[in-house]
Amino acid sequence: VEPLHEEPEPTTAKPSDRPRRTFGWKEYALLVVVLLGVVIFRKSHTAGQGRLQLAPTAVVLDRAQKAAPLSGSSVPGVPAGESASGSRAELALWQSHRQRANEPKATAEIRLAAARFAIDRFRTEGDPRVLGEAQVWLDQVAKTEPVAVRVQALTLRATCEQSLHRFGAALALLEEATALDPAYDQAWLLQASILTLQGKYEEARASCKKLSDTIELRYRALCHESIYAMQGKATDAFTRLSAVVEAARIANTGEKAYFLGTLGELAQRSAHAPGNDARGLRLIEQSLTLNPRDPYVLCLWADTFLQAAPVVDVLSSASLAPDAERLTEMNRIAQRLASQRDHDAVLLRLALAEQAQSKLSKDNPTTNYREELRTRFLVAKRRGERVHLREEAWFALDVERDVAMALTLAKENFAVQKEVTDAWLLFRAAKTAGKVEEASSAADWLQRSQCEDPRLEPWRKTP
Amino acid sequence: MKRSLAPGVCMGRCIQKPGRSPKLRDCGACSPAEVGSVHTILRTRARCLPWAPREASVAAGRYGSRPSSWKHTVGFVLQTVAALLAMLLVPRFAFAHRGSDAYLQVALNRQRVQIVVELSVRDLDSVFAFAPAQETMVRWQDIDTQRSQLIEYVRAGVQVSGCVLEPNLADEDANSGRPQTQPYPVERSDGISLQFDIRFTCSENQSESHKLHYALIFERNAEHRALVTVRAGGEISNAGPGVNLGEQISVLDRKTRELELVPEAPLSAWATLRSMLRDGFLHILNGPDHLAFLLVLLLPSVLLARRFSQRTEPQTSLRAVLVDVAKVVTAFTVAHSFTLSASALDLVVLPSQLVETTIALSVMLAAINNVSQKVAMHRWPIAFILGLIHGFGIAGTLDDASLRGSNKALALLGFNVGVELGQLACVAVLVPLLFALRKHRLYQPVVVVLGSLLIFVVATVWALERATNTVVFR
Repeated sequence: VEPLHEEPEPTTAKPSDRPRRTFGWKEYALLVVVLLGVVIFRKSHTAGQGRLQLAPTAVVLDRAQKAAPLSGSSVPGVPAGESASGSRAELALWQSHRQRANEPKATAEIRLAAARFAIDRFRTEGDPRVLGEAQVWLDQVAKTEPVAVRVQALTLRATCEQSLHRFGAALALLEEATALDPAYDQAWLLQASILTLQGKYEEARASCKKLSDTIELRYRALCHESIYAMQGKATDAFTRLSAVVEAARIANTGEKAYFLGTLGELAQRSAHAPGNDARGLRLIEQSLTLNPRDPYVLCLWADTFLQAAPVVDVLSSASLAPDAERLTEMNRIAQRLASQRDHDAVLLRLALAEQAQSKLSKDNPTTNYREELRTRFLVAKRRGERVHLREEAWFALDVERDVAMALTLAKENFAVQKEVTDAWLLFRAAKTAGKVEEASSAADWLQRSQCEDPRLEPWRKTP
Repeated sequence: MKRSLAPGVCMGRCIQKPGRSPKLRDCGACSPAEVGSVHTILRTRARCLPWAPREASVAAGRYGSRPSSWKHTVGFVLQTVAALLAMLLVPRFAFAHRGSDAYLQVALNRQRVQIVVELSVRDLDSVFAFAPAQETMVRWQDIDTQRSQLIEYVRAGVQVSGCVLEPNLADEDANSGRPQTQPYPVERSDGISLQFDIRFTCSENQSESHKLHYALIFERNAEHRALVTVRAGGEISNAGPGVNLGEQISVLDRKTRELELVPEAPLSAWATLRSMLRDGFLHILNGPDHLAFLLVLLLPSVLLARRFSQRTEPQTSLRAVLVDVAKVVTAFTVAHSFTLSASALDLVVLPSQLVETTIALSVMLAAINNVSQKVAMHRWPIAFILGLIHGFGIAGTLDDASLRGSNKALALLGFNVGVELGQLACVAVLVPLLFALRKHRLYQPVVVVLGSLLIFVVATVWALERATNTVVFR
């Protein structure tokens, strides 16, 4: 009897009145082929993986995660040469700083240097672990003599607290430091900047006045003009500070980048002055050419686009007209910021750009920054940390579209820090929630400070 | 499902060959001394990574939570029956930076306290300086040379008042199957962490409350936190999922290093029932082998079964289909409820490897029956007989802690009902879909026959893996 086989091809089906075997040699052959295929597929798959992972078999820590794509140079024992990226070299440097500072007999200088390195690393990389390690060294140094060393330690310790947005603790430490040595300018500068952030402009100015006579002009100017810029005199502040900075001929690239970034911010704030709008973005770009990895300036740059009215409309779904220019902007943000996404603030900008992109192009995003950021906030919350209230509020407002949550967070955030973005967020959250009165703290602040900024203009008229 | 696949064992040997990617054959089996001790590069996904040490599976015993390999198992099933099982997709992302967190899972029994301490290698590195200065990587060898100091450090830094630390059994009692205070590597989103399982014997005085004192890493990191979860009774297995985002967590920091260990109040009857319902429901949805089995049994239910010699045709009435499905599902349910209860109440205890392998074999059998129909004409007897085996498997994931206490019967009932609901949910999704597809000319050759063959292949792999305690696919 001719056996009939159940083939995937329905054409082979024969009239059903004949007896048939359903599992004959053909099926067995098929089975073998499928099995073989699977095995071959997996083999080739794992072989490819093997090649990729040839070198870094010894990497267990992701300390090196952000290093360049792991190449032959990372084979253990082979020194990282020219091919190693800056961040890998930095990692090694950090590692040696850390080990020297952890030695029981380490001197105060070694520990201070390590702490400075750590704080710097926290700023650029956003790794919170290093900040905790720095604090241990600084606490050890702060117990020792002489006073000059202790003051440095206290001030750096305050910088750590400030980085974690514990402004009260930071100010208390600075109080201690300035009492110990009133001639230590770094402490006054930091105090002034924290007080400015908190909206206490007169107290901040008092701190600036305590700066010693020998301090370089540009620092004194920076201290004072940053306060003026928050008090409705951004145009003058920009003009004066840029003159001082220009005259100073700063040689240090990092410092130059810092000043350029600050100037760019001031120029943007005084955008109503002729030419300042474009000048702001240009200065920020210049700053980024000198130091492309500064997350603060990167965010400043991204915010230029993200806080502009058309993008805000897109994010809040007010306008979804196809807009090629905005889409290009968002793509540029995504490209430029992606390498620094370990930083929560940078990741937020990426998530915002991702959101705007997907709305503009009506495509699903290929990235998942939103989910990543959400998890990060959850993890931080679980630890009992609320470092990124501003970012969380913005995220809730424009990405999650949870207006009630956004308003609560924006209010909470504005109670802690009072910069233009914080006020802008609170105003927007209150308006979106239909509770304009909830933004009264920001309205009061705006009334009192007379802070000028194009972002705040719409809210000035309707207090 | 109870295979305890320790992520990363015996890599120490694989690493020995520089300049080559480690292959399975480079690694060999693990000696008991290496179990859970040899740390590895999980990121490399080398083939020898998931070797399951026999000891670990015994140690995890019936508490064995689903190991990390379920992801790849699920992944594989997804490739084969992608559309139908899409609900199993779990998003995963890695991010680089987290604060310095330690996770402490505390299991509080009357005379014993078990604490699983999870510390990230990065944090331990700040204390132990594993890698030489200027080195950007930490190698397992670096960690391994300091293993005993590492264990001592952790054991000294975690104390429970009124309780005495049990001696470390690592060396003398490696084969007893008891968990040991050995660093046990787990992969977390920000890198590798090591778990340490430490146990305390406590005085019988019940009125005395126990205080946890934690003092690790703080001396090196001021922002270090310990996130503690406490539960009453039971045991915590290695390679567990760690602390969930949703769980009740106490945070210890540099200033508050102590925590009163208060066992959770016993759950109310309703809460027990509810949580067990959920557990049972999720168990079915997360268990690829139960789902595969169910799928295999349901595929032909929309076809009209005649005697062997005849060609099958689509069922005409929905009622007939439903009757058929009901028969199969009821048989499966009755059978596995029976063995599940027997196993949970410790009336019958079978070794988990045997059970898991047999489950895989049962899926193979059911799949081949769809293709050849030589084994049995009716599927409900198959469902019944194989359901008996599945019951043992389901019982393996049932947490002993939840069955302790007064609501044992209720908890068991809840779990059983949860399993049924999970099954019914699958049936509710599948049957209408299959019913709609049944008349398509490709339904029988492609969906039923090819689908069953694919599941057969997957189940064969499962059976091989489970029988030999290896992982063939990753």
